[in-house]
Amino acid sequence: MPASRSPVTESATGIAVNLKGRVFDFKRFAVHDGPGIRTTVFLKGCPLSCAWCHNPEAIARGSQIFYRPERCIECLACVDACPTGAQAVIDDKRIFARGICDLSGDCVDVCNSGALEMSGRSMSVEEVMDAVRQDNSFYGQSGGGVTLSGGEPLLQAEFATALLRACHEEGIHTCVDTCGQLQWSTLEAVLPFTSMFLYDLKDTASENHRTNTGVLNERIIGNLKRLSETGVPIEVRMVIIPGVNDSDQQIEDAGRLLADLDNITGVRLLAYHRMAGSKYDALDMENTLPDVEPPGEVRLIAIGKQLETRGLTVYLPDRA
Amino acid sequence: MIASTGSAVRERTRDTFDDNRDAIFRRFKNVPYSPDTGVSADELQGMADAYLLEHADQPRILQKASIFRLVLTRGRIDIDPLDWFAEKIDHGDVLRKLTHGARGDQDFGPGLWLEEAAAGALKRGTDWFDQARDHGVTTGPRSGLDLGHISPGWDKLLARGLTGLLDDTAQARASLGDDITEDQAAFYNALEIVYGAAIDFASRLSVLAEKTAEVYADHAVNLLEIGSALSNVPANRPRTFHEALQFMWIMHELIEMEGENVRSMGQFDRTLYPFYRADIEAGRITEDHARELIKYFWHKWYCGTEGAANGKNFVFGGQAANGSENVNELTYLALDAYEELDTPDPKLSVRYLPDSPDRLYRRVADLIRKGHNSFVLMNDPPAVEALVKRGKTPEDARMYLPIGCYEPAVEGKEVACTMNVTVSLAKPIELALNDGLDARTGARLGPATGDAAGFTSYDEFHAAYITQLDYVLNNSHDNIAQAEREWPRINPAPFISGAIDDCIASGTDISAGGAHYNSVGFVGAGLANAADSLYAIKKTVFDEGRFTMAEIVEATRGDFAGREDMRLYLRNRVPKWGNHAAGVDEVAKGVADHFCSTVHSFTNGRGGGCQAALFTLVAAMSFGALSGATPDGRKAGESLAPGVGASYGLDTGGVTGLINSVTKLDFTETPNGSVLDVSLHPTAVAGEDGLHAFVSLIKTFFAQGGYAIQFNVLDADTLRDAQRHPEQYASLQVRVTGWSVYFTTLTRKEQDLYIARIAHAG
Repeated sequence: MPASRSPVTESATGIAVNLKGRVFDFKRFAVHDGPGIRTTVFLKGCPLSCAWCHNPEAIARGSQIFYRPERCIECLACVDACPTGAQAVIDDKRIFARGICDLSGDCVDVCNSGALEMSGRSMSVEEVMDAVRQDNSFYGQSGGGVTLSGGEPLLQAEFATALLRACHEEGIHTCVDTCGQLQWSTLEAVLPFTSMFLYDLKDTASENHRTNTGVLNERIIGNLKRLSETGVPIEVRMVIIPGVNDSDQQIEDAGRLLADLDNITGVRLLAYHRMAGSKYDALDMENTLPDVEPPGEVRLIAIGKQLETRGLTVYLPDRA
Repeated sequence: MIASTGSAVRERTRDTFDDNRDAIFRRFKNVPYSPDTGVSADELQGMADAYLLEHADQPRILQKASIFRLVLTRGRIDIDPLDWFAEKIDHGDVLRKLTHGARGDQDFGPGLWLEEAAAGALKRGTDWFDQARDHGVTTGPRSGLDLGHISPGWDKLLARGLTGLLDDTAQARASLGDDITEDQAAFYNALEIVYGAAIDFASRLSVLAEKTAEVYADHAVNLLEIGSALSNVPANRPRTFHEALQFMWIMHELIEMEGENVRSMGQFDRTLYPFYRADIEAGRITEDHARELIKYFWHKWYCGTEGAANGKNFVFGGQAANGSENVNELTYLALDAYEELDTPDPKLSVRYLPDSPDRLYRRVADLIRKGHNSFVLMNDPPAVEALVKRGKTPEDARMYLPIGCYEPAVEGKEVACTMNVTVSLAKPIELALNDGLDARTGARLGPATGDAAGFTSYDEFHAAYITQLDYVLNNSHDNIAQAEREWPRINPAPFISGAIDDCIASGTDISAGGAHYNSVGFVGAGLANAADSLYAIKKTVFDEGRFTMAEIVEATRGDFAGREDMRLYLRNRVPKWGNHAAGVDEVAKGVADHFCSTVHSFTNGRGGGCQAALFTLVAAMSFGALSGATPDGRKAGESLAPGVGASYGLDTGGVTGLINSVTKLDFTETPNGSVLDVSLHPTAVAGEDGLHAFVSLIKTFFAQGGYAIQFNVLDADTLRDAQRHPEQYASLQVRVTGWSVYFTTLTRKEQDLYIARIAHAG
């Protein structure tokens, strides 16, 4: 379900009062999603379906229910509460039949163990602002702010725009972490309220891009070029997946592309990892994570060097 | 008597501290005392016993001073030829065994004088206390008044030396003239005995150093330096940085021998800077050599604890009496030395002001994230204001030392007894639910406040809780005040007393209240469990009607047997302290305010005030083990929440939420200290971005009025691996609330708790 389109009324500040978005997480003390200490707000829905996605709950636009049987104490309160019979006991076995689940959330409401958890809840701009304002003093001290991420946060265009505008009006620094697979007008609409973009560049080889993410990359690269002409600072992010998007040619092409663009503050390399596997299980989603080891430090440094020869500033993953 | 100190940089031996550290450690642990140097510890014990028999009518302070002199003038001594500092005397703990029987973690059983008091004066009215202690309600002074959290006036000592204190003593005695009392005369006599003995002892060591230098020609440089130093200190003002360190170290050892634990070694950078600077300007020392000396010096503390016990505190930064900030090049030189040393002891604290240099924040944060987690970071504005509110002058308050962990005391002017009483804020919840009885044993620990199952409002339960808490506080106070009045007969301490104002002027030992400020600390432990329990009852019983009071009473009494669903609701579905949630935060603030104001209404047995603190140290586990299930969903026997923060794993609102909650408390009302424990995942503070975020986190905590903060920067996988392969992780340090220890020295249960906490942070 996309952001609500019910009739819009505006508050004194011009923000739609009953505009709701679907938020699935807040991450506080986020330190690698833009400058300073940030609160990252995760919005549901994504136009891509990357095989390596580490937020699989972010792909679908609607709410989803995580089910982690290892936490279940078999109190069966969910079975009593479920209006459709999706939560059931069949042959002495606890079953969650997602096919007939109507996402009422009644089971989640009675699950005290945390075995059932709703991913994605409807929130107003003001509710999100209440949550992010709590850390204003941390933003002020560190030069941080709010980052919208997802999924693709701009898929909920109206809500994301209103949220960024509200932050902007309160002087909160804003970052948008985008995959770029959007209408240009959507990016253009948030420009006045966005302090910085974090722009994902997944693969310069378009066919390969389609194989692994579901779409060609022309629109993404076109939007990146256009965005770079607006003057807004852009940090490009590249998740490095060995054997998938890290060939010398792919990196070379990325370097050549980015070197020609203005306003690129740097390229941040992110090391692919497989730690999201349990989330796929808890959503009953097919685990599509490529079965490859995370890139080694030596390889990341080599990629970094290759990009640096193009005059780019490169941020390697911080070693703890 | 005074050998000349070379004006040029002495030719150094070629060996470095790193070459010698292990050998020094081994000799420290197993000192090869030569019989040529004196009589054995057993013989000393025999001589001490005989002395007491022969002088049974003497005031105890004189008995003690005389035995102190006996030990220092007759005991065997030793100097490690590899070392740059000397102190070794084979004293056999003769004095500690005489008084209260314990030194640090070593317990010799009750001392003679404590045993006598425990059987006599201390016995009256302690039935409640014995019960309460055994049920995790309170701790108190049966095993010894806490004179352990104490620091002499280092400035005064270094400025005047022990001969200066002897001059003061003579002057004070003279000014009293014929009005002098017997107690005052005995005190002055005792001072003359102990300071004379300490000066003689230093001379013995000085002579031995020169003799040893003849045997160990390769180490003549350091040995002659020791010899020269000890011919001057602690009798007189040190002439060099090395002499100042030697002075402080020998004082530390002699104060501990006398029967107290020195828990602060003062403001390192402020106190020692003049000596360091003068040496540098005169060309007597290089930065490199100064760093080496600091390592030899601090290694002594590690040798004493082996990283397994609570260590001793050195503080950096902060203010001088006039408010000027104490940061200088010695601050950073010492921090470099500490990094190179790479041990959990001594403990370092850093006091910060709002405009402290960024370099100080960054250097310390960088050390912490590299695993040097023994640091406590303190926020001067609330710490100083809290002391001023309790009657200290601003000049004195600015001279506070974190004494032990994070409990402040004014250097050289205050006997703060910061750990005299620790009270569980959570146990009164159990008592309020059970009409004053312990849920497990049925013992009566508090007054009858009625059958909680019949309570019809939250206010009624809250009132019962407050009644139980007040009862615990009042009884703990009576108990400690009574014990304090006995203390001059248990552990008079002339050697340290002379180094604390106003003992010499008034002719009064610290045990009799001679210090300028006499305080007693009351530590409140388990704030989160108290607040979360109160709020859970308010919300689930009286706001929502989800449970009845009878169900809460029955379920907690039965440790939630058969009610796991209820326990999980209470634990997971009710807002918890530490998440910036308004309702429960308000309850926590109410409990803290009540606790602090009640403590501050007490006068202690030495005529001073009582001072509140909010932290736990080991009480989180020891009280938890003796406490029944609580309505916050905590099961019987589980640990209470550490420090002033959230219960284990329940700060789901992240570290910023935790800080936002905790800084709602008024830390100008915790004059006896507080601390927030924070666990961070290494990736969160890695790189330049991470360091910047880490520093900003600390600054925000301080800007919002937080008191003290300490960190663990570790990932759970590392700790799990350390459990499996302890041999590979001998040097892995973690910070247990209060002090830094080697992980492998913790019990399995403590390790598991740690891992749970760290996993949550990741």
